[in-house]
Amino acid sequence: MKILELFLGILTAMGGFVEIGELTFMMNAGGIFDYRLLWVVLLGTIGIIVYGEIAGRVAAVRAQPVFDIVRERAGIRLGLLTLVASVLVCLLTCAAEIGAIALLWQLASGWPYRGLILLALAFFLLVVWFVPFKGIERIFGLLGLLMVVFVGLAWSMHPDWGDVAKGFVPSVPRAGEGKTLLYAYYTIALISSVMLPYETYFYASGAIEDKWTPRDLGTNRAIVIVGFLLGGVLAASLLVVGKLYLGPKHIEAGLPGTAALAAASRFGAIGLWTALAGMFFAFAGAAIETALCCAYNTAQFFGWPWGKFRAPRTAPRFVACWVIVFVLAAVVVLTGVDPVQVVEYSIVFSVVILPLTYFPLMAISRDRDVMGVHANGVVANTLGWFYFVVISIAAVAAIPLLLLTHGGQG
Amino acid sequence: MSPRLPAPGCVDVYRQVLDHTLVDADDLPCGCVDDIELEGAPGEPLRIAALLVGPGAWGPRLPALFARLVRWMGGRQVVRVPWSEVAELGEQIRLRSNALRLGLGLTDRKLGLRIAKLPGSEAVSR
Amino acid sequence: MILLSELLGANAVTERGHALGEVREVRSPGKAETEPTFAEREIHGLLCGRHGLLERLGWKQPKARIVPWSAVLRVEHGEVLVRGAAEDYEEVEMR
Repeated sequence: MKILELFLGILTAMGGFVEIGELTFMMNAGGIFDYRLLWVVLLGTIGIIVYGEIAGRVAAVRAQPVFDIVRERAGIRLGLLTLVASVLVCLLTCAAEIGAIALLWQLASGWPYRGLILLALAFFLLVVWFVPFKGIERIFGLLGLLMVVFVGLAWSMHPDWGDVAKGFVPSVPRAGEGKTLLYAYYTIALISSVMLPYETYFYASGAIEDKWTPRDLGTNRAIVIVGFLLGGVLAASLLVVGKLYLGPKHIEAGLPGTAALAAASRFGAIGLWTALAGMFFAFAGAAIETALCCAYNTAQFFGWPWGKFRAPRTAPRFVACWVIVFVLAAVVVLTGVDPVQVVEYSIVFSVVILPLTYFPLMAISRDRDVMGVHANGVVANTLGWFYFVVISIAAVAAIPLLLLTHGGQG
Repeated sequence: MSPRLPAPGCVDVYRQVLDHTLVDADDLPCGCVDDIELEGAPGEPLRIAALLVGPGAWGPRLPALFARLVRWMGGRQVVRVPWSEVAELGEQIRLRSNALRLGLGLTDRKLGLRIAKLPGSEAVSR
Repeated sequence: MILLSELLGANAVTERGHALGEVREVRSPGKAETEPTFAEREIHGLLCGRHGLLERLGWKQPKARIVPWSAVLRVEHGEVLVRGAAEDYEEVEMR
C-alpha cells in the first residue's frame, strides 16, 4: 500500500506543478528567448524541491502547521505582515486561475466569459465544501497529468536537442541585443512561477491532514524529488513548445487558448481536448490550493480550529476564509481586468514576499530544539541558504524590473 | 528568529508562552496567547496572573496606526484565562477545561450554529 | 498589573544612566509544566540586551544581562529603570 501511496503522491505532485502563471511565462520565455532560459527552470525546480522537502519534513516531525510557527518565531508584527502579504498574493493567484478557467470554458463552449466566472465560483464552492481533502488532492493532481500532452507535443515538434541542452547552461543575451533587462525580468518571473510559496504551505498542511509522522520522511523526500522534478520537465516542455510554436509566429502566448491551439495544430481534436482538460484540472487545482492556503494560514495564525478533517461546523471561521477568498477572487476577474495581467502581478508580487514566507521554514528546520535529529543536514542547510540568497536578490530586483520593462513588454 | 534553549529549570515566558496556540482539554485549538497579565509591581513579587486572548490583546501590540485600525474594526474583545487553567506548556499550551467553559472560541461556536443549517456541514471529510 | 507586552521591548536603563538594551525575555523559575503544574508562576528575572541585525538572522549569538526583578525600580512609558550599574548584572549568552 505504501508503494501505491508513494506512486500517487508523485503523480499528484507532478500534475499539480503547473498553473496559469507558469504556462504563460514558460511559453513566452520560449517564444522570446528560445531555449536560453531552460537553466532557470532547472534552478527553480531544484529550489522548490528543497523547500518542499523542508516543509514536508517540518510538518511530519512537528505534526503542526507552518503558520503557527511563523507567529511564534517572528512575533506578532512581522508575523501579521507575512500573513497579510501571503494571503494577498494567494488571492491574486486564485483570481488568475479562475479567470484562466473561464477563458478555457469560453474557448470550449462559446458561453459568455462573465457567466463562466460565476459558474467557476459555484463549482469551487461546491467542490471544496463537499469533497474530502484526499479526493480533491487526487482528482485535480492526477487529472492535471493530462498536461503531459505538452511533453508529447514538444517531442513531436522535433526540437534541436543540442540547442535544448545548451539552454541548461546559464547564458546572458549579448549586450546590444537590447533585451538584457527583459531577460532578467523573465529569469525572476520564471523562478517565481516555479517556487510559488502556496505550494510549500499547502503541501505542509496536506501532510498534517494526512497525519504524517517522522516515518513518512522517506516518502516525503521521494514525492518531492521525483514529483517536482517531473513537474519541472512538464514546465520545460511548455518552454520548448513556446519556442517552436510562438517563436516563428512572433505572437505572445497571452491566453491559455494559444497553448491549446498549439496542441491542436499537431494532434488535432484529441490534442485540443486533452490540453483543455489538462489545463482545467491544473488551474482548478491551483485555485483550490491557493484558497485553502489563505484559510490555513489565517486560521493557524490566529489559533482557530482548521482543516478539512474537521466538519465545517467545527471550523466555521476556517471555512469562511476560503469561501471569502473564492468570492473575492471571482470579483477581481469579474471587474473585467485581463486575467493574464492579474497573473503577471501575482507572479511579481509573489517573488517580492518570497523571502518573508520562506524564512520561517529555514529558521525552524535548522532548529534542533524543535526538529531533533531531523533538523537540516549539511545539504538542506547549504541549499536552503543558497536559495534564500537567490530569492532575496530576485525579490529586490522584481519591481524595478517590472517597471523598467514596462510590464514585461520589453 | 534565532533558536534559543531556555536555561534548564526555567521557563522563558516570551519564547515558550507568548504567541503559542492554545488547545483545550478536548484537543480543540481555541486561540493564541495574545498577551500575558502579570500581577505585582516593582518592589513586590511579580507573578503570572492570566493569559489574555483576543484582538483586544494583540491589537495594541501592533504599531499605533494598525492598533487603531484593529480597534476601529471592532477588535476589542479580550478573554482572560487564569494561569491556574494551564495544564501543560509545550509547543502548544494545553488547558485543563474545554474552550466553552473558559469563554474561548465563542465566535466559532456562534458561526458554527448558523452553518449547521447547511447540508454537509456535519460531514467529517477525511 | 503589568502586561508582558509592556515589558518586552522596553528600554532597560540603570540609575547611573547605562543603557542595558531592550527587555528581550522574562524568566520564571521552575521547569516547564507537563504534570503536575504550578498554580502560581513567579517572574524572577528579565533578560536585557541589544538585538542587532546579525542576532536577528541567527548568525551571532545575542548577549543579555540577567536583571533580577528585585532590582527593578520603575516600569513606565516603555522604560524600565534598574538599580545600580550595568556591571552589577551577569552577562550571559542567550543560547
